[in-house]
Amino acid sequence: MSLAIDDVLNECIERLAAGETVQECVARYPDHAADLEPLLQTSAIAVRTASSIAYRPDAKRRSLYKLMAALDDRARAGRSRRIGLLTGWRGKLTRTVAVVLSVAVLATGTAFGAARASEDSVPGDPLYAVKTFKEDISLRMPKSDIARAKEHAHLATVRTDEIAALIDRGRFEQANALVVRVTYHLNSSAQLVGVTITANANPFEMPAVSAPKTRQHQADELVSFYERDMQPVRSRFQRRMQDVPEQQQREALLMMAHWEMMNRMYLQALSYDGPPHWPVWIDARASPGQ
Amino acid sequence: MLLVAPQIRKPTMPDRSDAPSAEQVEDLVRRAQQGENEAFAGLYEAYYDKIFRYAMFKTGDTIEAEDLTEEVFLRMLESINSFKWQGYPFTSWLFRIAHNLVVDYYRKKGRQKRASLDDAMRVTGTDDVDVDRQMDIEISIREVSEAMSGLTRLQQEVLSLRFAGGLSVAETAEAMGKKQNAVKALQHAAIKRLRTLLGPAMEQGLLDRGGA
Repeated sequence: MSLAIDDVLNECIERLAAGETVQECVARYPDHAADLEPLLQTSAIAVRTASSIAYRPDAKRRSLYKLMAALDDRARAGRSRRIGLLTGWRGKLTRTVAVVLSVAVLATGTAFGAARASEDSVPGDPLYAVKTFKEDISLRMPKSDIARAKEHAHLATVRTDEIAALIDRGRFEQANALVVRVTYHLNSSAQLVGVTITANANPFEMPAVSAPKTRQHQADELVSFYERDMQPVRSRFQRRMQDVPEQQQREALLMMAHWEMMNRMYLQALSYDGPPHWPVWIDARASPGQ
Repeated sequence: MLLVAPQIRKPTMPDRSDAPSAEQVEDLVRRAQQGENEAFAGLYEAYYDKIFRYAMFKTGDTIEAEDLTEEVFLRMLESINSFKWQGYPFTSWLFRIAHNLVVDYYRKKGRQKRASLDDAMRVTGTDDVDVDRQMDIEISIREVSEAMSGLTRLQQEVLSLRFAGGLSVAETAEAMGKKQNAVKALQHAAIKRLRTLLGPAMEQGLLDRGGA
């Protein structure tokens, strides 16, 4: 009797996890209904409580980064041992210290194996978290406003490359989600040289520049940096667009047009030299390549 | 022009539907044993959520649970080459590491009682859950947390592995080094005891009973 109810209870817990209700489970085992129902109600509460626990995405990313740093550290240690360069000093370091050192090495700009391997990753790939974590670290490092502005501008092109790769793989939903990140990086970049781009309520008007530039030479520098950085990305984007299946071409073209519009807004806003709170008008005659 | 907050998982039953297949896990483990970064990241992605929930169930503290989860994967990295396919699943092996770390954690910290889960747990999907509903969930968390501390260590372990870790009975049995029938009996006894401990709260309608 005892074993039977153990089995029945377990069977019902599996069914609850698969989406069945307590009542449905109980109905399957009328002989055990009286014992089963309160136990299943309790199980359902425990299952829901466990389900409500969620990790913090930032902590997960940081932890993956450390794992990758440790992996790289292990690989380097293995290589060093093979060529006889180390004589046991590493053994005196705790693993934690070694991992921290690896993360610090990365923070100072030296990419380790996993970080390099993550460079071509896109959202949904296992190593994508490593890539974005590396970017976050880099953005938090002390640097000048113009250097940070360039970094944001570069990240906008990195996201664009990812959009193109995602379109190539038919993952339009994820590609669309990244468009917001491109906008974010471009806005952040502009803000760092004193330009704030604000969205207009009227979708047919371009966003306004809410403050005049205070650092014209930096804005000019940023424009030329971005145009240079963006050019190969645009070429890759356009090449990939040619391979998009016909039924998805419209969606892909809209995304490309949206991206082009954002680029132009950004470049025009940086070049704009008028009074504050004026809308930026996009010159429709300007070719995308200019 | 607005920033979008990072996506947070919506509440789901901790089932195994989104888990990689046995073949996928075997492939990931084999590649990880060869030192492939992406395979390690794949295993991490597949198991982070479950290990974290398990650690939260056991410690009741977000920071401690994050540290323990991180340590589990670092230990995995260190010892993955010692893992052999000998009839028991990789999940059980990984949770055994987690279990051992939790035991060490209590030994080192000298903590006899689990900390309260209520202020440490994060309720998912808060952006589209109304305030009343969220409060119901938080009350459930607090009540279940207190009740869990009244279970024996083995009972806590079996419920943590089954409900938080989402392990099957077979996987739980392997992780705990017990027979499946023993796990089922422990599970039964644990739920029965939990029912008794949760009784007053259930009678007062304090627990989130949606879907029960």
